[in-house]
Amino acid sequence: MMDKLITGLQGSKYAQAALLALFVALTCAWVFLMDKSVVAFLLLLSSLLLLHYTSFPTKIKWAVGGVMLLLVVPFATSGGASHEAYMEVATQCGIFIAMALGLNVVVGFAGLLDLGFVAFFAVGAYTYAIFSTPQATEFMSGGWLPLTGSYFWLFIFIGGFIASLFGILLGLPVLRVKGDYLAIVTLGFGEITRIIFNNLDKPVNITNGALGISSIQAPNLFGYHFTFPHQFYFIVIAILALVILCVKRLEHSRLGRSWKAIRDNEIAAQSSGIPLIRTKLTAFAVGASFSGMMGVVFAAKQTFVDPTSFTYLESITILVMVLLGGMGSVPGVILGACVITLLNLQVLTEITLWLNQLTMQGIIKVPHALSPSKMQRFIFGAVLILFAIFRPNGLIAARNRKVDEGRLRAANAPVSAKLRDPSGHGEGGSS
Amino acid sequence: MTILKVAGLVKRFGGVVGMNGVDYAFPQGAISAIIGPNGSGKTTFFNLVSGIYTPDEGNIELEGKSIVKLKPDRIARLGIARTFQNIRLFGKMTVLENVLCGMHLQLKAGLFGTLLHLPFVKREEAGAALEAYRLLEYVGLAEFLNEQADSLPYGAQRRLEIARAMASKPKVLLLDEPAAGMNPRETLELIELIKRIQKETSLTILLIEHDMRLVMGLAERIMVLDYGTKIAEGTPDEIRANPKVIEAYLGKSAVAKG
Repeated sequence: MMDKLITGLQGSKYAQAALLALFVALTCAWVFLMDKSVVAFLLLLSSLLLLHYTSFPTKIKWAVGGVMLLLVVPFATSGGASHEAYMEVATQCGIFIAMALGLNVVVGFAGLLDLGFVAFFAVGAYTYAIFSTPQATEFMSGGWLPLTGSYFWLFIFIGGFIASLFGILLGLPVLRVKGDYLAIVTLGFGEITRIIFNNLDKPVNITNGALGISSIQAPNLFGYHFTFPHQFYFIVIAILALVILCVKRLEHSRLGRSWKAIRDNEIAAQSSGIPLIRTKLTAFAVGASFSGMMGVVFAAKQTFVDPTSFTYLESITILVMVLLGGMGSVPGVILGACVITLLNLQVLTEITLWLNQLTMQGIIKVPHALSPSKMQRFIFGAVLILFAIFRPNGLIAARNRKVDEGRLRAANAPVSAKLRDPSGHGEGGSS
Repeated sequence: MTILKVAGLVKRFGGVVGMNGVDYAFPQGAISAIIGPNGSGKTTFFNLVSGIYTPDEGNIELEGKSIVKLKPDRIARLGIARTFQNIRLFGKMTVLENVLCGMHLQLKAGLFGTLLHLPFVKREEAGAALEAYRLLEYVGLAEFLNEQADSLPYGAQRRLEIARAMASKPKVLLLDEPAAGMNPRETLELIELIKRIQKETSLTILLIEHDMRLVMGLAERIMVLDYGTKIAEGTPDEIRANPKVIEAYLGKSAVAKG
């Protein structure tokens, strides 16, 4: 009975569409009517996962996904007082997705284990923070400082660029080592970056040290100020769309293949003419640039940066997202980033609140030290171990792109015929 | 005419001398074989020519230009492609993608061309897929194009390595024990394939092999190595009759009896 239902569903796109629409409508209504219902919000977001598994053409999936994210989610959450809280979570999700996709280029595609990835995020964040506050005047002179919020849009790209430059500079010494050594060295460099930001307030005050930089300018678009999470949400969605587009284009390109070739076998890749260092550096630079762009957004959203936001635990969190989702799998990494972010921001805090309530009512007694929000690292560790044992390829395993053999054969036939035919004029590039 | 020439090639691994002053000139457009007992330095020789090892002494010239100290990818660019004794495919990629990786040097698309989705990149990719498919057809793997490379049977993996190496349109193709682990029928097919490649492309092929039937059936010239030294060279018939070679393979007593 169940099997029949599933096969019937797989066969009919209309049934899928109807079911998806029903699901979205129900969860929407639930989120809209209930204030601050984590379960409803999670279900609403999981409709995107359902969308991923429908059998519609990719373009339609993207269009529906876009409508969902741009209209349905912001509208559904606008029903109650916790609108901003929902939007904050969604924005954080977006930021982490972009970073996880960046790390996925480095770890998943190129196979370079980077344990200091948050450094690039920090570089992006500090780039905007320094120039959009009077901080820049501490070490630079010029009437053009500090920059106003309308430069934010430019800084998204500058932040990405500086981060990728930093990725290349860091990669040059680091990429001389391989495997476990690379992991250790990147871990070290990640910490070094944080400590440099922490100590770069003397002799010249560039980062304002441990005090951090506050009152960062809000983005400004023709006089419209972005200060609330529901506004940043749209910025993040736009950047995320760009990042996903880049990743999808790179994944099956000449460069993407070179990355995977190096991951699968360095010596064979090199013997096929793929330059090792340059290709690895490109992976570092591309991955870092995504992180840097989101760093700029993060700085503007928080209006405050200090070195404690860029600790080793953040790097590990991003890595867990990639491992959980599936190394090298774009939809997997997106899912992984969502799951971990929601786990951190919503689920754990909600469970903690609930347990606290029960404790207050005297039903059970949970010691403060055991509160779930404090067990983040424990949960990450457990997740990693369980996934390594039961699902080593992640939630959505990476899949190779299948080429349509019939199309290739059809394209091949006239060419072979021409090669045999002495009167043929060159190769016919019919495709 | 000589395409690849080595002179006084020495490679030491700590106290062990892997290659001890080998001189040889490989004629263009011919199939040459390198044979020798286990550990005689055949693969070391290939690793030196393809740039994976750097020689301690001596020179390697491709078309009259020294390629010593160049990185493997530079040497590949100059026209030397190879396969590996212990198969080194890009295991998690598809068969077609493996060949496309081999075509790396033929393609031009860079980071920005790819990101901007320039029309030439699209055309190049379509053309590359077609050419890779033709190469797979050539080695008889077209039906596997979408399979993951490490899921192929052993013999097919070896042929895929050949296809990948040929995809870079090399001048010199190094085949390191292409028939290792193949059954007699697969070996025969491989001999036919190598003959066909050589006839149709007039590629220079260097071959390491233990299967004497394959060596004698294919090679025009043979170089014999033992303990990193060249002990003989010549045509298959000369090599078969050479007492030094028999001694290296079968021991002194075999020569005395023979």
